[in-house]
Amino acid sequence: MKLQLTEDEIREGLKKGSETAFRELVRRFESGVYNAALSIVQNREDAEDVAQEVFIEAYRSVAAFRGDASLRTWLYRIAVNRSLDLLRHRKRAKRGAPTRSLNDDSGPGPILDVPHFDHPGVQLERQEQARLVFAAIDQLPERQKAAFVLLRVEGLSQKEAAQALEISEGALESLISRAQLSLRRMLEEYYDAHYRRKPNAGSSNPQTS
Amino acid sequence: MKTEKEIWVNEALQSVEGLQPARPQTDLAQLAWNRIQQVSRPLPFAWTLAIAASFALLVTFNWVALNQTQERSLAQAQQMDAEAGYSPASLTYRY
Repeated sequence: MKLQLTEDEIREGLKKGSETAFRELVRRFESGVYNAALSIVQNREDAEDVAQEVFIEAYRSVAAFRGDASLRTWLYRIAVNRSLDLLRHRKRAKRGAPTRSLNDDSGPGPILDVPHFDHPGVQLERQEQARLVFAAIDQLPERQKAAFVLLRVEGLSQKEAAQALEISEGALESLISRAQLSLRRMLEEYYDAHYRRKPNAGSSNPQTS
Repeated sequence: MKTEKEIWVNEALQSVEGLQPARPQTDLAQLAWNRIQQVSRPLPFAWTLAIAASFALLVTFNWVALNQTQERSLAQAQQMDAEAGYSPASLTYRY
């Protein structure tokens, strides 16, 4: 008995409604799809919902898949779109929520003041920094966010990331460099606000301050 | 030479690279397959029958209502003609 289906076999199986092909598709790509969604939506339950939606959409629209990209990049494309849809939905829901009082004396502060997301794949000793970077990623414009997550966090090749985002490699490079500039600026602001050595202050080590 | 801040920012940015892949806590394949099956499952026969019967009743009632309206309009027109002394013959031209 053959153990692994090829991509073509999975595709043909899905077109025929085969459960085996569907399970193989999920088994092979769930980690990538789930992790990409997790880095964008930054919530485990939401990422699981998005991943489910991605595979359901893939099953339904496999007939329209032309095969000009690999199944992997096609699934990443759906995952990015679904994740961004969810973020837009969240933003709309937030707009309807009560806003902060103008007299709130806590002020807006640096935008990374309330990092909230712990990625389960981060090494323990780097968790604090990773939390800040994810909070900064959350502030990026949609396309920069997707590009940074696919290329830097998920480790896709430049070609794969460009295909997943349906842009040229040049456009991807431009998105990444803008994303990195913004992230650096946000992190520097955070450093200045929290760790900068004050005159006659104690430790200069940001980790211990 | 890099400043302390630059070193810290670089380390922070590197902290999200090469992460251990996280695993979903649910059986994605099973959940997604169940949802696909739910949507593509045909309607039970009783439901199909109920929908067809409701549609048939709707058509019948509409037809009855339309007929009654037409009959009532015709009768009303004839009655008005009679009251005014018109007859079909009086409405034709004679040369």
